[in-house]
Amino acid sequence: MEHPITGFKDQFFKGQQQDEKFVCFFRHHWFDLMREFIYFAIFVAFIITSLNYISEIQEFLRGNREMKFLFLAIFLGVTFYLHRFFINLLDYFTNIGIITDRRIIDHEKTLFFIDNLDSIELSQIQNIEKIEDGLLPNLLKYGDIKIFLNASATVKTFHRVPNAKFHFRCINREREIRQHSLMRGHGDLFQQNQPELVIPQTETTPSA
Amino acid sequence: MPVFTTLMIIVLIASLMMTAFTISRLFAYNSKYNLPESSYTKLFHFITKEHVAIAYVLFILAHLSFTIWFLITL
Repeated sequence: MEHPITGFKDQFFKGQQQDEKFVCFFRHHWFDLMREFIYFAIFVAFIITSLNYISEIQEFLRGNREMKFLFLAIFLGVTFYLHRFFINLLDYFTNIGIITDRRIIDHEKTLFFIDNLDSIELSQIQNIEKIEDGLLPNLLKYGDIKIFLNASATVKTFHRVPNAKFHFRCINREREIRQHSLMRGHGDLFQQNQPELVIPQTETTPSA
Repeated sequence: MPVFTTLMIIVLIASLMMTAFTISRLFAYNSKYNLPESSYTKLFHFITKEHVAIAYVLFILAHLSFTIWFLITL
């Protein structure tokens, strides 16, 4: 809902303009995290196996200084991996694409290291492509969306977009609405700038 | 206190601090981005970043508790 004073400014995301309406946003498909989940499953299996032999490990470590330091190194690795897994999972949630009635924003962000923003005006979009090549993209319904811009060879690609068909249609629809509204606005501006046509009145002299 | 135990405790404290720092970064992100979530934006249609943050804290606490128990019984 529009705020009576600030409009839509920063309503859903930092940088949202005053009269910019939020449409939707998307993240990468969950398939992006498959590798992380597989590694985590292996990690959990390793931990469970270690827990089964915990008393033997303690017996082995007692009085053995070198093994204790080896255990410390393994413990450090396990702790590091645990943090890395969850931070990667949280980074999945912060990496988003936002569609508004004016632009598409690619916000490539992680919690610690990356914060890149790329904003594409809808009026600058010449063409959009949806690509769902392969068995997995078709089965799991994800794909790439390529955006071709006017007056440049720039192509912006959103990779592994979930429900790519829906987002493709959404961008197309918003692009058409935006371009039509800009054309109407230019038309009104054109009419406003035209000088007013005045037809001079001519006096008719009565015949003698 | 033996060197091994001291080093393990240092690792645990660093782990706790890292968790706290990560959660604070997540709160800072949430304050700037108030995007309306739906089943299409959640992971597997139901998992949000708050669920992941809670699981993260629980895992680290379990890791901490187990390590303290391990050091006590060693």
